[in-house]
Amino acid sequence: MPGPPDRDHAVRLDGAARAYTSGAGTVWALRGIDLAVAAGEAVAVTGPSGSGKSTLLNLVAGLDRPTEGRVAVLGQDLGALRERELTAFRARSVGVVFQDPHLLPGLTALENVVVARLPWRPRRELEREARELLAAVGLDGRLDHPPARLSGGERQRVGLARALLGRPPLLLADEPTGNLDAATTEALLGLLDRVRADLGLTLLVGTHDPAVAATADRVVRLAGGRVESEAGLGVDAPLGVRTLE
Amino acid sequence: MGLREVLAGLLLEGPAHGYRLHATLEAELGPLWQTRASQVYLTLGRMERDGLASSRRVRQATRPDRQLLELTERGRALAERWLSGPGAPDEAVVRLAVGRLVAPGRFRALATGILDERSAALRALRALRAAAGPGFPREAIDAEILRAQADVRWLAALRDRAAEVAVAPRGHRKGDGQVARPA
Repeated sequence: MPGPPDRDHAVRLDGAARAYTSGAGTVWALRGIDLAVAAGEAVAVTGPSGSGKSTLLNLVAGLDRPTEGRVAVLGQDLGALRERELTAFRARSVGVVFQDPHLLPGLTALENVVVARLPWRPRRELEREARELLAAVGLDGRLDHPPARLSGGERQRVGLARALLGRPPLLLADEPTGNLDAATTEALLGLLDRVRADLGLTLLVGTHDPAVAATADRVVRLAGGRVESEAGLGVDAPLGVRTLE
Repeated sequence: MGLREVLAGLLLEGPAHGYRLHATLEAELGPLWQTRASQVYLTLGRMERDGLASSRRVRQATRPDRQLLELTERGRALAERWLSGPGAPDEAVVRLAVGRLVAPGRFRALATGILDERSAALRALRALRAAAGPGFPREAIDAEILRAQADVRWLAALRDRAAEVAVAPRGHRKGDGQVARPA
């Protein structure tokens, strides 16, 4: 039985499930998910393709609604919000980074960052903050570049700056490094870690890559739409120190 | 790993005393590589005994005298051989750290050489994998293949940034024996 939404957790799922019905019958993408993410915590949701990672993130982002159970974000039960309220809540509370940042090709990096929030805040104010964020992700020299003139890693950093606009307390990332090479992946993970610490964000990252999952405080592994295992990553693991002698 | 070869490599830069050599190793290799100062002095003594290095005493005004070590021709040949490789996979980082200091103009060539070594090893491991019978040996070979893949990718990226890495400032120690970690 789900309890009341609590304010100590940035994210809380109680018995959350999502089913999709088609001509072939009902497919459960997620079943019986109980998950609590503390404010400021970084949690990786991992598992093979089709295990339910993106479905879970979409529920937390308010982009989809559970078939059963409850999803609460920052103490707000998302099920209690009407569609318009949900959109407004998401705009001020949740930043989302996708595998493909889907930048608009006709806009500059700066314009791509501000465009999604234009309905809610004055353009000048948004641009000032977007410039700061693009500088924070190392793109201050690329403000006027269209996406075609940015590398894959740079485009993903624009996507990160866009997700951080308005300083949402919760950042969701769905396979954020899925299109990047190993070196660019490490650079983006380092950046994510830094902005998370600087802004005090809660991070929920979905990834199939265990090396990306290792950036989190805790790893939740999904299999067949259920939580298969959950483990905290300690800080006292042996580093493999070698001795010259 | 052979501390003797590593110290000989550092001495390619010119004469130095044990304290400085130890400090350089700590500063350049960071917290993941450790060297005991006593082992450095012991090894330098053996190198002198074996004709790889010669020493002279340098008087200091306010501190105890120091032994300044210098490579002999044999020592220089040993150092050059070690630096050029081939060497054990674990030694790659140390060879690159030393090579950056003593031969920055050759750093790219050194990184390329080690990349070639690891690429050849990766190829050989794949052949070994193909010939391996069933059972755990395949898993053990897979572990090495994945490590070699990571090495090859890192070395290729390092080679591409060689000009920048070669001229980056030397490492430095913070406080008493503490190696400064990057910000």
